[in-house]
Order: sequence, then C-alpha cells, then structure tokens
Amino acid sequence: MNCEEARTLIDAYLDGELELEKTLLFERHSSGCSRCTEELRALRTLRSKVRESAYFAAPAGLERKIRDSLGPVPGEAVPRAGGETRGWPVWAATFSSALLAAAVVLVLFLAVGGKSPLRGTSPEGLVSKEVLDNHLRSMLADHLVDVPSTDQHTVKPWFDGKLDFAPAVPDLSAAGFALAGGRLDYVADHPVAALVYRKRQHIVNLLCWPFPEESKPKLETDHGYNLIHWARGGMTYWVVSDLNAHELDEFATLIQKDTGSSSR
Amino acid sequence: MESRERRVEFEELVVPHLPAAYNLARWLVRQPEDAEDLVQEAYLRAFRGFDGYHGGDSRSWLLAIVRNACYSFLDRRPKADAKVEFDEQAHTPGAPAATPEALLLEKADRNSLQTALAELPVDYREAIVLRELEGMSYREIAQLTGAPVGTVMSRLSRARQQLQRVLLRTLSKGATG
Repeated sequence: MNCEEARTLIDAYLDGELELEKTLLFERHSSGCSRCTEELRALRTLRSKVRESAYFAAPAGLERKIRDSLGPVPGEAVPRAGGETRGWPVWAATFSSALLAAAVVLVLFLAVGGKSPLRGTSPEGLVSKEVLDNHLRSMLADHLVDVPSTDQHTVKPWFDGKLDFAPAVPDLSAAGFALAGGRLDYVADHPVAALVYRKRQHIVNLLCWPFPEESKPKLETDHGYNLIHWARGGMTYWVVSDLNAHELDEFATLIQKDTGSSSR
Repeated sequence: MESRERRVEFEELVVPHLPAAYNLARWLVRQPEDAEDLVQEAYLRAFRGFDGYHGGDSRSWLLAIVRNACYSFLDRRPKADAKVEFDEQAHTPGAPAATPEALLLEKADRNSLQTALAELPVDYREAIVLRELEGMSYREIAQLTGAPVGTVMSRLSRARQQLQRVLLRTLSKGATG
C-alpha cells in the first residue's frame, strides 16, 4: 500500500470501518511513513478535541417542558417518584446531561417498577434488568470503578481474594476501547466482576460471573441502551452500554476472542 | 391512541435521547433558542407519530425527526445559513507544516473548536456531529441522512480536512512568534 492510497483510507481506518486486510496493510504502511503517522496524529487530536469541546448540553428545564407538552399521563392521579407532581427532583439539575439521562432512566425504571412493556419477566429478563440497573447506577456519583487504572496488570490482580474466580481483563486499546478500571459489584445478589471500558464518551460495562450453562451471544436494546450477553466455559458475560450496537458487538467479539469463549 | 403504556414507553425509549436531539439541533441551526424550539416540535411530532415506530434504534428514529424539523426550518429562512458549496480550489492541501499539526491542534481551546466547526457547511457539520459526538457508524449515518455510504465517507473526510484547516489557520494567526 502506498501513501496515496493510505491517505484515502485514513478516515475509515480511524473510524474502525476498514476491513481487516486493509487495516493491516494500512498499519504496515503508516508505521513506516512519517507523513501518514503525522496525519494520523493530527486527525486523532482533532477528533478528541471535537469530542471534548463540541457537545452542547440541553438547557435545564427543556426536558420538563417536553414532558409537560406531551400532556398529562393517562390514568395517573398520584405524584411521580420523588414526591413531585411533575418534573425532576432538584438534585438532578446538578448532574451533567449525560449522567442526567442515566438518572432519568433509572428513576423511570424504579417508578414503573421495572415492568417494561418491552421485556418479560423470565429469569433472563430479570438478569437483563439488573444488569442495566447496575450499569446506570455505576455511572451516578462515584461508583464507576473501585480500582481506577488503564493497566490490565493492575486491574486483574485487584480481584484476587475478593472473588472466587479470576476475571480476564483484556487490553482492547488498539480497537479504541480504553480500560477505565474495575469494580466489585452484585447482580441478583451474587458477586460479579465489573470491568469498565470507554470508547469515546461512551462507558461500556462488562460484567462476568460463573455460570454453568452455555449460550450464544444475544443482543437486546432497552431504554436506549444495548446489552449483549453470552455464556461459555463456565462463565457468563454481559456487556452493556449506550454505545451503538455495531460497535458494542465489535467489543463483545473481541472479549469472546480474548477469553476463548468465542463460538464463531 | 392515548394510553398509559404508550406514554410510558415513549418516555422510556425516546425521552432519554434528548441530549443527542438537542446537540444535533444546535449544530444544525446554530441558535440555542431555535434549537430548543425545534427539539420541542420534534418531540411532539415523535409522540404523535409514535405508532409509526416499529422497534429498532430509537435514537436514530428520533434524530430523523429532529433533523427533518431542522432542515425545514433552515430552508424556510433567507440564504444566511443555507448549505454552502465548499470551495475546494481555495483550500487544497499545501506542503506539510513546519510544526507538527497535532501539536498545534492540541492548543485549540473550546471556543476556537466551536467557532471552527460552526464555519463548516451544515452537511459537513452534521457528518462530524453524528460521527464524533453520537458515535454513529457510516451505515447508521447513511440511513439517517438518506445518503449512500460512499457519500457519507467522503463528506466526513472533507469535513475533517476543512475543520483541520480552519482550526490551524485560526491557531497560527493567534500564535505568538
């Protein structure tokens, strides 16, 4: 691959949209080409600047205006969660809008008793609900990680003595998923390992715990979040994020390959 | 059909995408008050048309409505912010800069970045917002904007190049000797 061709592929490469063969050819070329390396660096800097600087948060009160404009909720005579007849508790205004979205969904979850018309109450459905709850709660306040570290060699041993299994902590930084750390958490009362990754501004929670049966990867969408889960080799893995399904599936595939739990 | 279940489903599925809706509207129409009005309008339309939502990506479904509202609004207004053809001739890449561009770009502050992005034609801005801020894939952007994937790719590539050039121009003007 020469420079001219490489430069036409640089965007697709950074966006993770280039097929494997071209990706390898591109990387092989760019690692030996100072011009392309410099362009890559500049483009990466530009992209992260955009992500840091360009997001306009919705003004406070817009959400309330929108809910009010939808009219009264049919059949509702009692105040919403938090004891207010409409709108959100004052504490919600102190969160950034990204966290507010998570908090909004979580409060709705609790207010409607988790009975989403989208999901049944099968055992899997209940675990799915708990995993999403877990994800949302982890993003509020200070509960994202117990051990903050981008180094798998720090995070993995941290779980020793805290769990009776050793979670794999893959390094997926080459694919754009940076490790943010790990935490000990609970799903349906059993302890689980939670590994937190970040892609751009999205948080991806990977929860795993011992599980005897095997199952193929399954994708669900709920409340605007994507969940993928599967079980193999004595463990079950749940991946949850507001990241789009395509990239989340990419993440899940990488995890499966790394843990040797790929069935593809 | 008004029903409690339908209302709850709408609130669970669609309302959480307000941040994405507002951000997109803001970048398309630029003025915060206009963005707010358009997002409200879009949400009303989305709610009334909720029967037309048949599952799948609720964010894209909502953003399509937001987008339509914004582009109708832009079309109604006088030429001021209409889609501008980017003058390729005036902006062909020159020789590599003396200072690594990445280093200069690192210095860009929030204001410069926003100003530079605002200077781009609306379809370029949109490509950057959907890719970088919403993390949509090329296929998702193509579906949302109704453009072929190839167009999305070239639009995004040009948008980034233009953004980079505008930003570097601003930064090197402001740089002290």
